[in-house]
Amino acid sequence: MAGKYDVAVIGGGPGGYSAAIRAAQLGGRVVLFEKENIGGTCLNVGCIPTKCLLEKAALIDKIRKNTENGMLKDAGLFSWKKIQEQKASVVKKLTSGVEGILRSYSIDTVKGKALLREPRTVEIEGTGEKYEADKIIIATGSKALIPKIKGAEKGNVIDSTEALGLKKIPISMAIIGGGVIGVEFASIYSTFGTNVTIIEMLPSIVATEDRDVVKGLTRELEKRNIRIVTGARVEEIKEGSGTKIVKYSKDNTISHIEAECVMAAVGRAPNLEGIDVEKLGIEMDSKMNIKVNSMMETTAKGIFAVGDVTGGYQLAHSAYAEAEVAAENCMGGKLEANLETMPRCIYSLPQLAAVGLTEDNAKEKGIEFEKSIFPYAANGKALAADEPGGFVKVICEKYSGKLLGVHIVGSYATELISSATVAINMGAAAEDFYRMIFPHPTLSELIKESVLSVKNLAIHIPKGQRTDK
Amino acid sequence: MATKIIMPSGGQTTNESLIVKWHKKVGDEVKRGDVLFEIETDKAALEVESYAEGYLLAVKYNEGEYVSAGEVVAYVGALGEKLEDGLTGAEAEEDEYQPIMKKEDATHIGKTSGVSGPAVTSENTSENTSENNYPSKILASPAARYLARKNNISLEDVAKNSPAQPIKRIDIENYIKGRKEQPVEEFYFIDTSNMRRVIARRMAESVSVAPHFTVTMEIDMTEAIKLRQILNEDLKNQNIKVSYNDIIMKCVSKAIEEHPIINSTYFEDRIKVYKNVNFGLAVAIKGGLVVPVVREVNKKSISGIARKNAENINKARDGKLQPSDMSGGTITLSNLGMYGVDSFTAIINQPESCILAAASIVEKPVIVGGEIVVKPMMNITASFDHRVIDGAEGAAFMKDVKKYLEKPQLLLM
Repeated sequence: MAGKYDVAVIGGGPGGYSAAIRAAQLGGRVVLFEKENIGGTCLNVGCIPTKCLLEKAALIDKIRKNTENGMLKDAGLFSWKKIQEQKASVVKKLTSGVEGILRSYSIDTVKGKALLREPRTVEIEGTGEKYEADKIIIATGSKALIPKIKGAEKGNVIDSTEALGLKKIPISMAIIGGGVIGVEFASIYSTFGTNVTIIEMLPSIVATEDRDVVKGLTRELEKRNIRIVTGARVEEIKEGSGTKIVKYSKDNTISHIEAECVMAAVGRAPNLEGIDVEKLGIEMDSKMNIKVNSMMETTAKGIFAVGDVTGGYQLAHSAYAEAEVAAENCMGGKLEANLETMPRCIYSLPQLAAVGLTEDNAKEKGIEFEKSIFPYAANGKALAADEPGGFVKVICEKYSGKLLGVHIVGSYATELISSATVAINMGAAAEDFYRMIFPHPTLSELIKESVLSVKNLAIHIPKGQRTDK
Repeated sequence: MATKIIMPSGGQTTNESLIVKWHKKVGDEVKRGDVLFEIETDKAALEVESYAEGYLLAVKYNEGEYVSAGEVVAYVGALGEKLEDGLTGAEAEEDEYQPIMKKEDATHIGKTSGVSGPAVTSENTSENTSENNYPSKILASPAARYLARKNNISLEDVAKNSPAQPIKRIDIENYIKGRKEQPVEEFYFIDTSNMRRVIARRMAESVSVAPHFTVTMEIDMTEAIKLRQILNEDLKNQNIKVSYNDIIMKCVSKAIEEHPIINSTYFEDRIKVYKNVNFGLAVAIKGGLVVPVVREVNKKSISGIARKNAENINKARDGKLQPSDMSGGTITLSNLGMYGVDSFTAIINQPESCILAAASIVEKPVIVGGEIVVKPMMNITASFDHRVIDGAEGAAFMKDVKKYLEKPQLLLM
């Protein structure tokens, strides 16, 4: 026996490391197992590196715009290699930062593939070392799904991890799947000069979000030369002459798209390697995600699961929230996770961010509501920053004025959403915003004015001009 | 140590191949299997893949140059490496910077992945039109202006055709007349591929050097069909499927034993007769056709021929045929049976002397012993090079081809 612990955490991604830290903060002796890199998908091949590329893409976009309008004489040159190097150094800084925090809490980090076959014992593959723990938290994350399409083998189709590290900017790219990942990569590569086509099976991209903001996002992406084909099913991927040919059907007709590179962004599947769910009696849902209750416990007593492996939102911040609940419950707490006001962010160009109910959600729930749409073009800071595209959509309960949903498409949407998240979380109503002061000039005023505009009380918009009708 | 990239041996009549296009630049990373360059041999257009890995260090021959087989064309190795014949290799590049303003043509999206041209800003283009072309203010007489306006003609278009100014009424009248005489062009151009150009050149060459004549035979395929069924039943477990092409090739090769002159080339006023029958099969692929060869058909069993043909066809469809797979043919078979063709003639694949054109097998009424019976019949038309083969010789050969196809048991003799 290599050691005895209060809590063993399998997986060092956002769910795993935050669970480990919280358990240690509560006085637990904690061991964390990681088979590759601390930080998991998020830090190594997900949120963080994509944002490095998107930040650079946004900069390039700005330079291009200002060269076109004549403010800059020359746009100059950029280096893809340097961008990749900076991305790698940010990842390194963050992962070693997390490693440092884990050390500061005296959490033992074990490098190796963990095998969980017995309720209280984790074994390391290869060495056979065994670790005993009272409670176990599974945070093994997910892996990119390769679609079941003829010809979609490795090498023919790249996943998001490979798309992050392309040696060269491709001339053209077809992205299968118009979800969050597909849209973000479309923004990245189209800005760096790639001709991008998104092929989505559903009638619209990011179909779970509010229709109006999705329509706004689609329009903005198309303005940036991204071709979006919706309602299209990819039938086959064939080898062209130095290219790939994507065959798809739409409205009963077959079409082809030729591209240098094809990326699959059709979703992620739970990573259950090394976890003997049957033997442990862990129940799975229909999509083979681990089933958990509101306390993040699985059907096997003493075993918890958090993050992507449980399906759900598959967001780093939902993993954080779940991990903190699981860790507290491992240390004797009785917390329930509240994931109702989950902010959702898409770091495309422009960004999309949303929290709370969409208009369709509200209708389905039979809630009587009022709504408003307030444009970025009516905000001083947005104009000063040369970012007049986009809008904020607000949905309030008619009877009480309670804020139900805020949806933003436009510059810095992902930063703006937090004030709306706080408001919704605290059950704020539109009138709570009347006397709240927002600094001027900021984009954050958009939140206040969009909420006030539900009641026709926004200042910076002509009388009667409510664009929701 | 850098690896030498050598020109493969391509054709049969010449030893030289033309470098049509380089797919890699000096300094580019090269992986095993990457296409380095395209060549055109007397047979076909081919892509030459790299068998080495590293960077393209130096290129000895450029596009448009002819290179003999076996010559070193390029070097692949590590950056900064010394090369043996005094060439300097590509230096390890610090970094590759690219222009931010690189603008892609919107129509290009998702269509093809050609290399984009240099960035052109809108300012540049507008300058060009105003400075380099005819002056924007066009001088014209009032009558000319009136006539142009009445007929909805732009003075710019007239000025393009007759640069002498001021434009007079007569110029407009001539322009209208000319416009009426000019028929509307109801066609469009397709850019040809290398393969297309090779086919065009070789077919024209064949018809001009070899006087063709053709002989058609109608063949009762009853026994050949039976033979194929028996063979396929027996070969079921070996994953080989015998096609009619394989049986035709074997029968033709057997007939050649009695008519060796068929398997020959007219070469500098002599006739070169080959001892082995190397049978080419015309395979249609996207954008053209290729003719992979099954060697020594005379020494192979039908199943051996079938295996090789299947392999060749797969390679052809995948674009993986090597020059060696297509060289050395002595006779060719073209089969359009699958299209329901009654009969057709083929153009001889130079420098061979004979090509056989097999049509579809159709059930037809035939008179046997005074009675009408239904039999599966197939037409084969042979095209011969009259410089080598005369009518009687060709006909006698085809009679034997018919004999073996109708009584394949004779193949055992």
